Amino acid sequence: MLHLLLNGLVTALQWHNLEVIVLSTLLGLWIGVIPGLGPVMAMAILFPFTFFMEPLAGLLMLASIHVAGTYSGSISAITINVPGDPASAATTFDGYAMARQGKARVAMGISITASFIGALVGSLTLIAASKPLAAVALHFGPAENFALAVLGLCVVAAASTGSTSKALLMGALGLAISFVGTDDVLGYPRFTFGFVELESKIGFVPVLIGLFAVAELMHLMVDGGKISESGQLHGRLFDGVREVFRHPAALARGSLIGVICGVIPGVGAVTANLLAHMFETRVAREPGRFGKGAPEGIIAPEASNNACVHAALIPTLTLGIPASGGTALVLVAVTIHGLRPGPMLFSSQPDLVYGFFAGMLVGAVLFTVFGLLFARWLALITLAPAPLLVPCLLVVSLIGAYAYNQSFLDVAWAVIFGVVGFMARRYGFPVVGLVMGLLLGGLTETSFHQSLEISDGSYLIFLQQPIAATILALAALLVVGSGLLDARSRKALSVTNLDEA
Amino acid sequence: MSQQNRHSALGERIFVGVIGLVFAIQFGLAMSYPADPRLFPLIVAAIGVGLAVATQIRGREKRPPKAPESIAPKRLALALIVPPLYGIVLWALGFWVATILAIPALSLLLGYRRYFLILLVTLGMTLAVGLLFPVVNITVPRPALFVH
Repeated sequence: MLHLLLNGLVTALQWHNLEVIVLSTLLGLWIGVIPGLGPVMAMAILFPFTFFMEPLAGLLMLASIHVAGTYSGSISAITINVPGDPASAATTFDGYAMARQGKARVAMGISITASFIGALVGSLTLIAASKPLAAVALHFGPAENFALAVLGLCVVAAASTGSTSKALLMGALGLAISFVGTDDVLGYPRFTFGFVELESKIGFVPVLIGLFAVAELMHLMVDGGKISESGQLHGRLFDGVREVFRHPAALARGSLIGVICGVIPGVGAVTANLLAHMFETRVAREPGRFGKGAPEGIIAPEASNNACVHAALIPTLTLGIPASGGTALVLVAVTIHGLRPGPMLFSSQPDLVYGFFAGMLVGAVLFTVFGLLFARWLALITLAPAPLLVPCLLVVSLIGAYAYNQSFLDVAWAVIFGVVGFMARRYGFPVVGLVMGLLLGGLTETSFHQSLEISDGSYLIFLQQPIAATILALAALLVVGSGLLDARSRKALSVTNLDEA
Repeated sequence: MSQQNRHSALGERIFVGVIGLVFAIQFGLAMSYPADPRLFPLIVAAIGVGLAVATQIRGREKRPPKAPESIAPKRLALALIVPPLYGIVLWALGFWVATILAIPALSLLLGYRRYFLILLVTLGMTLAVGLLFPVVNITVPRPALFVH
């Protein structure tokens, strides 16, 4: 395998392929920073060009945009609390908190390094473990997907440092919002109140823009000041780079979660990003640090989303099952060039496959270098005074929401969820629950109904499938455990209050 | 309980109450759908109503947690009015006019008085977004009021 990879590296570094990787990486970086656009849009627009390119160059173009765009979403997440790509949503929690402390450069250094290492782990997994991991992915059917989705929602409750009921309430609200529109199973329009515009679901991107960007600009309008509360930038980019290596466990956990989420079709980088953050919060000795600039709160999510984007190519190339919009485009590009996804692809087209893998490694190095070059300047945004920054944020947010589907309905959703996010933050309700509920709602319901179809309506299928049953038991333990901890801390609080009285 | 805490507790109860109402409405509407499309929304709505009630009950503590800082009413009104207002003007007058009006207006309302910087940011932001988006095949919003 090593000699195949070396041959692939030589192929990837040929001038015409390298040119494609460099230009695509720069394009992906630029597109990924802008909320509402996203790398998948750039991939879709440039997709027809792949028809006229050599197969390897076409695949490298799409993959480089996808990978660079996934990383660069963290830049706006850190500087202005707006994830440029949904897969950087969780990076806002601690990344933006660090920016508020004047440490935007440190946060970016952490993000770049963790993204690079996550990308490396994902790439190496793709190269070395495609076939065995593909076999694991085949064991995940509808019942297992349903169990995973439920687990994802329960992790929200477990990871919440506040009230369990508030976290679950937001998760349920997210699920409720995901039901608006034509249902995925039977195509029945629900909760549309007769409006045709509501038959397509409420877009995830406008909700995200509302909950994070619009809510934050509302807070800035109320609080004033600058994003960097001290009015200065502290720390350097390389302080962030060093910080990553002080937390190897968080890096490893984030990368592993990313690989698992990438290998299982339907899960994706957004879930990986959020799950990694919640998991870190859960295992930390001092969970109260998260959401206030904990380095692990950036390391794990950024390693996770980049590992996931690479690992998602495993089911795509070996099983022909795309894990996301981006990998779906890669799959179509593969088939259009007369190639057939599956285990035989590796043996029949080794130059192409290993050239592609090597090219992705080169792309990861490039986005790291470009990121380190540009990030220090972008951090200066955090020093802009609120009266100048807020109007710009308002424009970028609402135009970004409009750009999603070129619809004013999405602008309205962004505003509505901006108010929801503002109120939720004010009263201590974790918006991550709402995001997870909205994200997982479709998968949860679809896999629920598919499972019942398979079992002829018997709910026992969720207990009879060992993997699904184990995952559901874990989810139940998380909720019960979290509730008990919550009750214990409230009891301690009331004892303290009695003592003070 | 201090007045600030009372206001905060009331605000939180209203927020949870609205969420509970959303679930109740969803439950009621879902009852009218056929069996399969209504099953999951019914389950989630029932759980949601239960969670809303539980959160309301838990909110009635003798000593509630530290209330969030109070907000000046004018600033709160600005925060709640400006985003939807910009959205409406964006729809009515299109991107170019709405943005050229919104950026200086909001900067001045927030108390900024460095006029040259405001002008610079207005022009820079408007041109950057207005020229960038068409490059990726996205047209910025056109004025609805002047569409024939």
